[in-house]
Amino acid sequence: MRSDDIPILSLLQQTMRFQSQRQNVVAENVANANTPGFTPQDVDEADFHRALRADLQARQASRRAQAGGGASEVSSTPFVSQLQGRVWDTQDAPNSETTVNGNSVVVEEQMIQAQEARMRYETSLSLYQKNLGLLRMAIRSPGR
Amino acid sequence: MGHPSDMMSIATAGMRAQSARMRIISENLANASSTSQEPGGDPYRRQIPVFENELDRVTGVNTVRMSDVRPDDSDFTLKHMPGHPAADENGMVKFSNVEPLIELMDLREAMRSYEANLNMLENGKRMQERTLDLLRR
Repeated sequence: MRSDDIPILSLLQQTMRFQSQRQNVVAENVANANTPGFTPQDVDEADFHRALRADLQARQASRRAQAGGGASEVSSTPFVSQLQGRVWDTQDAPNSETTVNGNSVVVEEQMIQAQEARMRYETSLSLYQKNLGLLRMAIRSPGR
Repeated sequence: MGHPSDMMSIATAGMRAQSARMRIISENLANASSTSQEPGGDPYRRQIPVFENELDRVTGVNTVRMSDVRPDDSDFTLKHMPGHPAADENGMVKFSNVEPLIELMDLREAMRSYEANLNMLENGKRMQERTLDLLRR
């Protein structure tokens, strides 16, 4: 059993991976803040949420199938998430201003996006930590 | 994959490009009143840095680099100074086409972009540190 067999940990992992990729995209935008003709990119958040929901449903369906099969078939194929190692698509997301040289990066807006991505990342991280703590507590032998 | 260390290399590329730009700007400023060595010759010509989006083949991320430095083709300023060693037969001296005010504005912009990149670097560092904290307990 791997840590991503636990749905909540897997979900949080995916969120962290997504936000981390987003942070990367923002870093690219900021680095190219003065490159002529550059259009800032952003990852598609709606697409991510859709994929996450689909993944959860597939997980539940697989669990139900295993439970329905009776106790003898516990060793049937484990659920493999489709989200594992997936790279999210980026799309053009021009900011509110375009300069004369065709660059539409507004550094302030990118900073806000970066902070937002970081906050979400850290929220997921804290939740992940809490869940690991719960597991740890469950593993500990009683009375210690 | 979005790895925080990729973010750091992107931010570093951005900082490198911006500091190269600041170097060009200070060259321009330093030569703002340079004239030619010989009578009637051309003085220092203003340089313009050009940035380019570059794909890092190792990590697959989009970084930035200063691809080219081009001369500014605008006209030189002419001043009537007959006694100047660089004056031509009509007593006119060509001064460089550097406009200190524009250079200073450019410098400000470069500094601002540099700081934004630094901010991203800080961000990436914090995220990585917090993630590594998982190992500590």
